[in-house]
This record gives sequence, C-alpha cells and structure tokens, in this order.
Amino acid sequence: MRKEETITPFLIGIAYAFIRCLGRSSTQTSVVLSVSFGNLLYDTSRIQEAFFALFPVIVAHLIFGRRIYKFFRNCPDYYFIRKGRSASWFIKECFNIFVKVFLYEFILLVTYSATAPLICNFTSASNMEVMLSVYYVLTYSIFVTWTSILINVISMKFGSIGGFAMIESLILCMLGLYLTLGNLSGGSKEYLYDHRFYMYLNPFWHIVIGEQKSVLFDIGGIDLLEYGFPLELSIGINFMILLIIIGIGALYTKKCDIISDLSEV
Amino acid sequence: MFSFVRAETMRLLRRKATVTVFWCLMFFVLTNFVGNVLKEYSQIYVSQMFAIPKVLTFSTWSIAGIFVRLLYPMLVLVPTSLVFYQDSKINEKAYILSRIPGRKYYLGKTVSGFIVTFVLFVIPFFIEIFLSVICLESSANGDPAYIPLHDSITSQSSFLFLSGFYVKHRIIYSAMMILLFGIISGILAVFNMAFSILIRNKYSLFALVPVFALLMLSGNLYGRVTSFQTNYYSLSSLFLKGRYDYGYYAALIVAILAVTILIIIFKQNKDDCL
Repeated sequence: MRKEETITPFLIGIAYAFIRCLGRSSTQTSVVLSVSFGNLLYDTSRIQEAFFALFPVIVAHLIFGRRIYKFFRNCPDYYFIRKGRSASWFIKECFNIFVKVFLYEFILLVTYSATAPLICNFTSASNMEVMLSVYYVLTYSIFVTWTSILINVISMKFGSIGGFAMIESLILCMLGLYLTLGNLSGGSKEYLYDHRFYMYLNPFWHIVIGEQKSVLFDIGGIDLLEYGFPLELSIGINFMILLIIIGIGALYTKKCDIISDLSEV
Repeated sequence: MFSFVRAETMRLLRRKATVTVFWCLMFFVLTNFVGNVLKEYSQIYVSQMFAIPKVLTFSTWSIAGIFVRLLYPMLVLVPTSLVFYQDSKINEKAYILSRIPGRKYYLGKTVSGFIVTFVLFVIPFFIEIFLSVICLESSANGDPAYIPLHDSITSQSSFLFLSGFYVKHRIIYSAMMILLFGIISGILAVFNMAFSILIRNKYSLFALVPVFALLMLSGNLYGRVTSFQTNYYSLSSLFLKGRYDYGYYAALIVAILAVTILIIIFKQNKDDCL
C-alpha cells in the first residue's frame, strides 16, 4: 500500500474523533453510528450529518478513483500491446481496489474507535458494536469500491473531473432520493414499507446504518421488514452493482484493447 | 479589457459543462414548476393554494430544491473551475500573455467566470418566477406547513432575512434572494478558480476540492464553534427556521473575495517577475 492510502484514513479517523466529540458534552450511543450515516434518518435539517459521513467516502474517491484511469492515461499502448488481455488486468485491479478500500475503512474505524472514547462517553453494548463494525466495514467497502471503479471507468471516457463530478452527483442524487422518500413519508413506517421497492433500489439506502441498527437491535423480534432491511440484502445489492460495474469496465477496457490492435493494422 | 471579458464570457457560456449545468438546473426548475401547476389546478379555492415564494425551487418544501441544494457544490464548480488550469495545460496562457498584460488576463478571466456563474444560477430561477407569476394565483397566501397566515407572517418576521420587505413585496423579495444567491455562487466559483491557479498537480480533479470541501464541512462549525447556522444547505433555502447571523455571513463572503483577489495579485506579480 502507498503512504497516502494508510495515512489518510488514520488522520481522518483522529480528526473525526475530535470534530465529533469536542463541544459535545452529552453521552453518545454508538461509536460506529457516530462515524457513519447513523444519525441521518430522513431528516433534511440533519443534512450536515450526511455531509460529515460522506467526507471519508469522497476522500477515498480522490485516492482510489484515479488508480486505473492514471494507468490508462499514461501508458495504455505500451502495456496492452505487450500484455494484451486488458479485461483480466482490469478485474485484477478492481480486486486490488477492493482490498485497499477495505483496509482504508478498517483503519478509519479502528482509529476513530480508539480515539473517540478518550474524548467523550459512549454507552453501547460491546457485542452490538462488534456487529455494527463488521457491517460498517463490509457495506462501506463494497459501496466505495463500486463508486471508485465507476469513477475510473467514466474518467477513461470523460476525464478525471468528469468522472468525479458525475459520480459525486450520482451519490448526492441518491442521498436526495433517500431524503425525498423520507420527507414524503412524514415519518410513517407504513408508507416506507409500501414503497420499499424504491428503497431497495437505492444503494445509498443500504449504507445508512441507522436503518440497519433497528434490525440489529431487534434480532429475534417480530416484523423486521417493517422498518429495516435484512443485512444480507443490503450487502447483496451493493455487491451485485459492484459485479455489474466490473463487467462494464472489463468490456470497456477490452474494447480499448481491440481499438489499439486495429490501430496496429 | 471589455472585449476580452466579453470574448471569455461567450467562450465559457458555450462550454459543454456550462450548458450541462444550465439544462440540469432548468430540468429541476421546470419539474418543480409543472408539479406546482398540476397541484394548484387541482384546487378549487384560492385559500387552498400556496403563496408563490413558498412553492419556488428555493423554498424549504420543494422536492426539486432538495436535489438542487444537494448538487450545488458540484454545479457551482464544474463550469469555471478549470479555466486557469486548462489555459496553462495547453499553453494558451503564454499565447494570451504575449498579447495582453497579466493584470488584464487574470482580471478578465475572473470577471468572466463570475458573470457566467451568476447568469447560470440566476436565469433558470428567474424563468421560474416569471412562469409562476403568469400561471399561478399570485393572491394565494397558503403555507405548505399549513400554518395560519397570521402565524406564518409573525414567525417569518422573526427569522427571515429582510422580513419586512417579504411581507410587502413577496415576488420582488424572491427575485432579490435569487440575485443574492447568484452573487454568492459567483464569488464561490471565482474563489475556486483562484485556488486552482495554485494547484500544480497534473490531475484536474484537485481543482474541484477547495470549495467542495468548504461547502461540505462548514456546517460542522454549528454547535461546536458557532451558535448560528453555517450549513450552506440551510442558508440556501428560503423559510428554513434556524439561528442566523447575517453580519458573519457578509464578513465571510468579503473574506473569501479578499483571499481571491490576494491570490490573483500574488500570481500576477509572480508572472510579471518571470
């Protein structure tokens, strides 16, 4: 791993602990919820929570969203004429990005969890925190991986600023849809249950851990689907999107390979 | 100077990014307007209809407004952020600087960036006001939060910026707020342009970061450092209740403008020395 990939989450974790805890005397419930989208819950007046939780995602995009694109911009002909099979190279790079994003999220959470309790108080059950942590690292890793790969793929076509602007806009639109449906429901769980199809389709919905918290805290309870999602569905939907994007990216790189072959003729 | 600014403005207005942002804003504005017309035409009595400023895209209750405000950090930066970066990348800067003085170049580019962003963030919303005045009932006084008229005026006069003016001339008040929004957007875009001069990375992506980070993270000051709202999302919506300190916001805007001018003077002097 490069220096920026390890030091950045470490610094963000420490900075987050200070920003989140300084000036807040009240006891907070969960370490994981305080670093994620845990406190968002449909409310537009708490939009700052979303921006706060979105910042590490954007920094991860700045680090990993240029990785494949950089290669394409600097030495595609040299590499692909010699090695060929660019699709397999692309898939390998995607796997590398996933591993690095996973470590990025893990380092961020560990640093935050180690620093934050030193500054303010948290009252949460330890078992639940472990479950939430595993869930946080998994869902965020998959989400950040597919968005980063998409930035790379779009950057190959429209340049780095085009790729970044389009995907950040897409994420903000997903956040907008989340808030819109929440606003329309007026806090009614029945309304959300009736419109759960739209909730399932929105990948952003699946990384709002506050949604999942209700499921986690009520394992073994009744009507889990009434106000939350099964966890495997949340991970599954983001994972499916990841696979689709890897497929599209692989086809695109293969196309670039074919074009470079034809240009040889 | 004037001809340089005019040429640069026309060039920026014809860019793909500018056109995309304009149509993106028009899409949200027209969606909101069509929704308002359909909603109003289904009502029978004027007393059931909402006041025009409260159904505009900038109002707190507009769903299209949620998207516009969320996308704002991106929309405000994309059209102009790469102006200086691209000029130095394709060596156009050297070509222009051989024909006109450095002061004229930097000032002309900055003024044209401001004008383009201002136009981009004012025209769609002015079109909306114009269409709303024609198609919607201007005497309607309803509140989307279903607060009685007297209560809504009383509560708004306590927190709304220039509330006395709002009570007397609602449409002109909305137009004024849009002009103010356009000016602030222009200043933010110009600040980002100036900041991009300092970036020497070969990836243009980093030209977006300063204002994007500023807008996303400034809200965290509220409750920790300041006792008034610092979140751009709340500040850009009409009728959202909260604690506001307009003197502080004015000082912040002046500070951003001052930093922009300082960066440009610094860069201009550096170029002159070279």
